[in-house]
Parts: sequence; C-alpha cells; structure tokens
Amino acid sequence: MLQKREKVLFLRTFRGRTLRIVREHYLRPSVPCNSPLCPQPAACRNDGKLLTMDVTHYVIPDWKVVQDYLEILEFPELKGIIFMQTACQAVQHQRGWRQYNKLRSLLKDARRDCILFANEFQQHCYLLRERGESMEKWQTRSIYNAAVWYYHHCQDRMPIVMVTEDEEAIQQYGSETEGVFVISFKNYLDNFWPDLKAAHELWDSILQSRRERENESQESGGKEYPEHLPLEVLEAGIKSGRYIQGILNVNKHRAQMEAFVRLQGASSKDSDLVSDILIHGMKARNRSIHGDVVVVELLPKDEWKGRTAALCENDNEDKASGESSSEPMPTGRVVGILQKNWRDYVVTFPAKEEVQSQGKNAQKILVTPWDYRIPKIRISTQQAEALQDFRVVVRIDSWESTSVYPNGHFVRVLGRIRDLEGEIATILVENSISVVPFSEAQMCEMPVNTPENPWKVSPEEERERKDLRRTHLVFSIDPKGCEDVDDTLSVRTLNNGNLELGVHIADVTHFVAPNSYIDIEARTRATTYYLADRRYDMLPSILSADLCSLLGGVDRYAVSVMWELDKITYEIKKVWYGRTIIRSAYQLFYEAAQELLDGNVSIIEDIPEFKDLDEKSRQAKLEELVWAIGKLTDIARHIRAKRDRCGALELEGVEIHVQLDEKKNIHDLISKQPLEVHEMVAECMILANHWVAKKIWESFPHQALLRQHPPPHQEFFLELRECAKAKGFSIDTRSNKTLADSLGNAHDPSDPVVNRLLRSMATQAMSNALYVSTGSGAEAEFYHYVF
Amino acid sequence: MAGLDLLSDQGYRVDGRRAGELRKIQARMGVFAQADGSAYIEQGNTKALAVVYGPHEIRGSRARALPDRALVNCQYSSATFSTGERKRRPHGDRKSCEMGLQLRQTFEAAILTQLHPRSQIDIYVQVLQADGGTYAACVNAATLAVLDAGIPMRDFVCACSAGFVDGTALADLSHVEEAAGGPQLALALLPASGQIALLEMDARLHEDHLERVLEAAARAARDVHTLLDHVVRQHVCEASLLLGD
Repeated sequence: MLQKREKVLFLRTFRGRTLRIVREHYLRPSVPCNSPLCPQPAACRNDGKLLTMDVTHYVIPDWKVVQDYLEILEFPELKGIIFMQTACQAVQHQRGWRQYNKLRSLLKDARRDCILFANEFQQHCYLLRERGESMEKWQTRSIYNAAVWYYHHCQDRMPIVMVTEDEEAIQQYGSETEGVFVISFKNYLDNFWPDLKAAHELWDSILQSRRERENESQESGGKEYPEHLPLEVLEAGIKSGRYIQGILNVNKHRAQMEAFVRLQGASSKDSDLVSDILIHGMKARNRSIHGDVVVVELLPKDEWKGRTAALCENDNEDKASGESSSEPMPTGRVVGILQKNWRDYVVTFPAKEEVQSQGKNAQKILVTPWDYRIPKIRISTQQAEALQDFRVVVRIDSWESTSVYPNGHFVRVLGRIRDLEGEIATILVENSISVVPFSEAQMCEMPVNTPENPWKVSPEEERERKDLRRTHLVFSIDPKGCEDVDDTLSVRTLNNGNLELGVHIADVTHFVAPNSYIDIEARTRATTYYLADRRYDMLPSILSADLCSLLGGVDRYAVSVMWELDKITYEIKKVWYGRTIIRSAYQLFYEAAQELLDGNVSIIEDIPEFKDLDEKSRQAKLEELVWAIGKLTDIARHIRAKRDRCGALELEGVEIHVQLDEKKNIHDLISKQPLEVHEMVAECMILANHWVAKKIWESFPHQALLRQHPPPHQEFFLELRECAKAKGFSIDTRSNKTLADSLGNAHDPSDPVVNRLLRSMATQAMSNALYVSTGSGAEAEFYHYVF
Repeated sequence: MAGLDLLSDQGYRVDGRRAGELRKIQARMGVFAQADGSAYIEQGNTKALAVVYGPHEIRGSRARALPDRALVNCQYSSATFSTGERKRRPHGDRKSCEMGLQLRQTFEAAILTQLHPRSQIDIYVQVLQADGGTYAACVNAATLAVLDAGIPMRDFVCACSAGFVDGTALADLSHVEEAAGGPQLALALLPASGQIALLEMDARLHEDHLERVLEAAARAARDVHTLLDHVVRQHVCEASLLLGD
C-alpha cells in the first residue's frame, strides 16, 4: 500500500565535510483531505476538523506567503485556508520554532477554519526535486501541483486560489488549470477582502519592516551589541557552571539601567550565589527583554556593582549610582537568550514634535511601550500622525546586534487613550488575556436552558446521584449580586443526635467532558477574569451563570463532601464524598447572613425567598435558617481554634469593593468590611479542600495534584521585623506557629491599625502558592504554610 | 533553524509513515551456494547479509565443546561503507562484540541446540548499509539463514525496534529517529508462543510507558513474522519446483 521513494540529502558535518545521505520517503494513496466535499471520506480518514462548506473558494498560500504573512492568515475572517505540508516545513526549517509553533497552534485551534494537507506523503501530489532545481522553485511547484490535485479531488466543485509572491509562478501557472487561480497575495487581499482594513494595514507594515531589515543587513554598520553565543556553547557552559541560566526581570523603576536575573532551578547549588544577578545597563542586557530566559556570565568581582537604593534619583546615570548604591552584588552580562518570551506589546506614538526631531528617516518611528520594562520599539508606518492618540499593538520582529532598538511592526489599534474600552483592552493585551467570544463548535457542546426548552435533571443522573433536595437545607452565602454561585453549605441534626455538615460544589465536570472543545478552551483561559464592571468567563455563561451556578430554588448537580460531627465536641466521625442533586433554598448575601446571625430579623425584607410566605411558615423557616447559620458559625469557630493550635496564620489583605452607579461608572471604592460569616464560609471551604486533598492523595498516591504553600524566605521578613521593632514588638518568623503567635501579641491597644498593617506586611513576604504532584516529592513537603 | 518533528501533529513520521507502520521489507534466502544457509534482507535502507555454517565439529580448541548441546557462535560486522561517514574498523570493536553476544543469546534461545551436542553452529552477519534498527535486521536475516540451513528451531525469531516520542510508541525506528536520542527498545520475539528471546533498552523510560512501547514492538515483530513466513514459503516453493524437474 505504501510506496517507497528515496530522497538524497547533502548534509554538512561538524568538521565541514559534506555527507551524502539517503533517506526513505513513503507515499500513500490517501491522506486526510479534511474537506466536506471529499467523495470518499472513509478512504481519506477525515477525522479531525473539516473545512466549512460556506466559502466561495479555498485559499492555498505559497511557502513564502506562510513565512512572511502568517499574521494576516491568522485573521479569523479568512476562512478555508489549506496549509500545504511543504509550506509548513519551509516555515519550520527557515523561520524557527516560534513561528512554527504559531502555525501549529493555528492548525490545532478548532475555532479556525484552516487545515494542513500532507501533500508530500500523497502519492500523486509528491514531486521529486529535479536536478538543478532550486529549493524555492520545487516548493512552489509542489504546492501548485497539490492544489491542482486537491481541486480535482473535490470533484472540481470548489475553486481554489493559490496565493504566491513568486511572479514567475503567477505567469507560468496562472492560466494552466481552470478553477485553480494563482495570484499574488496583495492582489488576493484587494480582490477578496477589500473591506478588511486591518489586514491591509498589517500587510503594509509587514512589507515595510521586511524591506528595511533587508536594507539594514546590507548596510550593517557598527555593532551596538555583542553577538549571542551559539546554543551548543550556551548549553555546555550551563552544564559546566560557567554560565548561569535564569529569567530576566527588569526593574520597573530603573528600566534603563537595572535588571535582575532570577536563578532557575537548582543551578545555584554549587555556586555560592544567594541573591539574584544584577545586569547593569542596556549593553550588558544584550537585547534581552523582560521575561526572556537568558544565559548570564558573571563578571569578575571588581566589576560588581550595587543596586540603587534611592528611589528618586535624577537620571545622570553612572555618576550618581556610584555614590548612593548599596553593597556590591553579583553582576553579570547576558551572553545568550535561550527562550524569547516576546508577546504583543501595547505602545503609544510619540508626540508630533518628537517625530520630526527623529530626523531624516521619518517613516521609522520609535514607539513607547505601555510597560516601562520593555525598551522602545522601532516600527515603520505612515500612519504615525493619525495614530497619535491611540493605543496600538505592535509585535517585535527582530533585534539585530547592529541596532540600538528592536524592530517591530504595527498590528492593530486598540482604542483611544483615556477611553475606557481602549484602556481595558490595553490591560487585557498586556496581561496576555484573550477574551474572544466562544465559538459555535464550543457552544454546540453546551446544554440548552431556555424558557421553551428548560433544562431538567435527567432520570439516569437521578438514579446515580444522592438526592438531597428534600432532606437537606442547603443555602449559599456570597457577595451581593453574585451570579456564579459555586459553593453551598448545609447542616442538619442526624437521628442519633450528631450533626451533619455538608459543602456542595457545582459539578462542572458533568457538563465539560475531558478534551472537549470547551475543556480545551477553558484550559487556555484558566480562570474567569473579574473586572470592576464586567467579567470574562472561563466557561460560557450558560454554565457559569446558570447550570453550574447553585442558584436558589432550582435543581442543580453538585459534588459534595459531608461530615458527621459529634454533637458536643464537633469531632469528625465520618466523611462521605459523592455526587448529589441539590436545590438551594436560600441565596443569601454576606451582610444578610451576618444580620441573621446577630439576631436582627428585620433583614428578611431583603431576602426574596421570604417574600411570598404567610406569617406562620415564614417564622418557622426563619428559625430553621437562623439555627443553621448559628450552628455553622459555631462549628467554624471550633475548627478555626483547632487550626490555630497547629499554627495557622491569620494574615491581612485589604480587599477593595468597587461600587458602580447606574451608568456603570465607578462611583466609590470601599474596603470590604470583614464579617464573621466571611470567615465561616472560608473555614468550611478550607475544611472541604483539606479533606478532598487527602482523599485524592489516598486514591492517587503518585499523581494527585495538590496546592502547596512553601515556607517563605526569611530575608523577606526583614522589613516586617524592623517595622515591628520600631513599635516595640518582636516578631519571631522561625515557623508559621511562632509567626502567628507573635503577630497575635503585637497588638497596640491605642492603635488597632498597627496590627493590621503588620499582618498585611507578613502577607507580602509570603511565597506564592504552588501546585505540586504528590508523585514528585516527599510527603513532608506537602505542607501549607498559612493553613 | 528548527529541528525535526519526529511525529507531526497529523501523526506522520519524518519519512511519511504512521506510528505503527514498518519500513519496506524485502528478503531473499539462499544467496550463497557454498554456505549451509544464507539470506539477505532489506528493512528500509538497512541492509544485512547473514551466512550460517553448521552444525559441524568444533573448530579450534576442543575444550569449548558442550556435552549436552551445540555451541552457537555469532559474529557481527558492519561494512566500512555502511554509514554516512566511513568507519575505520569493520569488526572487532566493542560495539560489534556486543552485537555478536546479543545475537548469540537470541539464537541460543531459538535454536534447538540440544539436538546437536558437541557441535558448533556459526552465524556470520554483515550489515551493508545501516539506517536504524541494525539489530532487528541482523536477527531477521539470521533467522532466514538458519532456516535455509535446515537447522531445527523452536520458531522464527522476529525482531523489531520501537521508540517513544511525545506519548506515542513508534515501531521500527529509522536512523533519524534513533539519532534524536529518545528511548529505544529492541525486541526479539518467538511469534507463535509470544515468548521473548531478547529485550534490550539502554535509555530511561517511565515504567508506565514501557507496556505500550513493548506492545508496539511486539505487534511490529508479528508483522515481520508474516512477511518472513511468506518469504520462506516462496523459497520452499521455488526449491521444490527445481527438485521436481
């Protein structure tokens, strides 16, 4: 079935000799064409995503177009794109991993209407490279040949446009086959997408930046930066300990001069470096940008510099820094970049006068990134004046050693400066948050819940799940106006007098199958982003605000943990984990719950669930609810006390609540009032997490993913200790228990703010929580510092 | 320049095969008349020649003779022109010695040596072109040669290599795939009983994956068996035709 061909390659060895290598190449009668027009879908084995039917043509970009204009092909408006394997390989070999991975993720993305056609493995599409034929010509010829085959494969039913930058190919193939058109990319955009302005602008800007790069490489004047070392040298250097690998962190306040390299992994075990490595000045930083993984060479000790201690200092650099800097610290210079973490940057254009002062070449403009830590980027555009007041996204293309600034190109306009939408878009782009709406394919996987077609509990689930709808009083406590209620609580007295405490979490896994489109999308989004006046959901709102939101009075699927507690000591007797069906009786907000707890019954006017009841049943229900909240608080206090004895820390963080007026403008910022019910809910969740983590670990001793809080570095506490000393307290930071105790003692009766300030300083010193797999470490390491 | 993708997102390997597919196998038996048995095999671009002499009297020191079974003596060599860069020593280096020992172990497990006590069987294998999976090609060639010599065996010995890339087991690695440095496993199987004559791996591979890689290698070895069986039957057909005349 497979046919064998041989490919002869000439490779160069390390010693410079040329080797003749013969590689096999197997061809097969059918490869997946992924077209809905395919006459024999079974033979083609079309199992991945298919192209859509509702396009007027398919477009096949030539290798050169894919290499240079991939960003335009990324526009969601362009549909029905077939990437030929030949073109993809050209990108892989000549453009490096970054570009190739971009192409790969584009192909994998279910939302995008583009496919890869493995033309080189198809027996009719593969062409042998002829003697003396250049690689470029062969690639274009292969792509054209595959395009023609594809056209006939779809039974001539869908015209195909091949776009190329090769004038000769247009001449040669343009009118060779009917139905397969060969035109230039510019021509294609003009004819098929005249209204897609953004694509045209991007095309111009890419073309310009490419031309200039070509010009520059011809000029190639004096070098501004030393060249990076080749990868093999870097890797060998890291292994031998000569170089150090780390992530470059630019100092926000002195972005021009200071950057630090945080050591990665355990590479510092043999060297006696404890602190980060200082990279002083742009020269030493050698074209690396904030966030890059760099390789650093340490300078000799007499060239070490200290970090600048003073915050406000005028910028007459070297002179001043010599005087006011602290102890000299390890200083190095960047010799290579292992991984460039370039992303899209938001920039603004300089004011008009400055543009002119930038001199002879008015087309090149230095734009200022929104993030201080990113150097200015040089882009070429003719729209500089029009874009004066806008925030704009640019991408960096390259940073040659001959150039002071990196070269980039303009991508798109976000919005006006000082306009709310524009600024929000800026924040999103700067944090690499993508908030495109969910696609149709993803929404197809979602259940339906409309007034005509309401969602119901299915009988099969009813059989499998424990039904708590009639037996348990379940209620939720959340901030006012919360739409995505993900946790609820319940408590009741069992027949034997013991208490049963339950925590119920919305069962999202029921609706989101592993590796479904929605699952993959949610993985890339990772979390729901809450902004003051809006939120960007991780899951479509049908789930997050409806079916996976444990609203009051409706049936919902949940995952529950239920504990049987002793009636007096509150000791845990039994635990039950499982899937359940619940119906939340009350959807309370924190303030109301607190009022009820305090015995202030008048608040029930604000609780909608009580509205339509007559006096008698209202009284009965109210009593039931107040008892439950009271009991929960009691239990929570008890658990809390137990945790405190084991060394739990109470830290302070100021939480801000944003108040909006009717027009969704920000009206006021108020700090959240800490209430006892907050703590009660938090305590129940900690308890649930604790027990679930234990269960997971027991079931999967080697693969459980747990959240862990490593103990903080002692040096971060320095500031805290000194501040406390000024007030006459001593803080013992040796362990979490001693820290908790001494923080508790540091209480100034005349000034309650002191204690809260100290606690929030301790919060700052904490390390970030990590997720660990239990298979990867010893048991003693799964340790949560705060809890 | 970016490196090679051993397994593309579409499931193709560098040379266009899918994960479980073998390279093209061509084989011939009885290529030399003066030897007791001989065979030539091509597995993709890996080409190997095997020659068998025996069972015959012990040559050299009589002390080496085994009272209860035959002595299997294997020698491996690879031609100086077999690899891209010319080799200096065709045989006798460490690698060749190791390969010889492995072949010996494999065939001691397969040949019914107890039928020929105090005698010796020589298997000489030469690799003419090396493009990955040399051990497998040597075993497969030697099996055919032993069969050609008419030496009784328990079963065919069919060998195949398998590797592991990005969570997928690849069968029958080519040189490019071997050179990438991932884990590689060589398996020699007695297909009828499913017994393993030799299993070798000298890289780290997580225990969880071993099962799958082993499974891929075994399936490939069974495929090899079907092909070799066909070759043997055809050879016997041809030979009996000649006898008939």
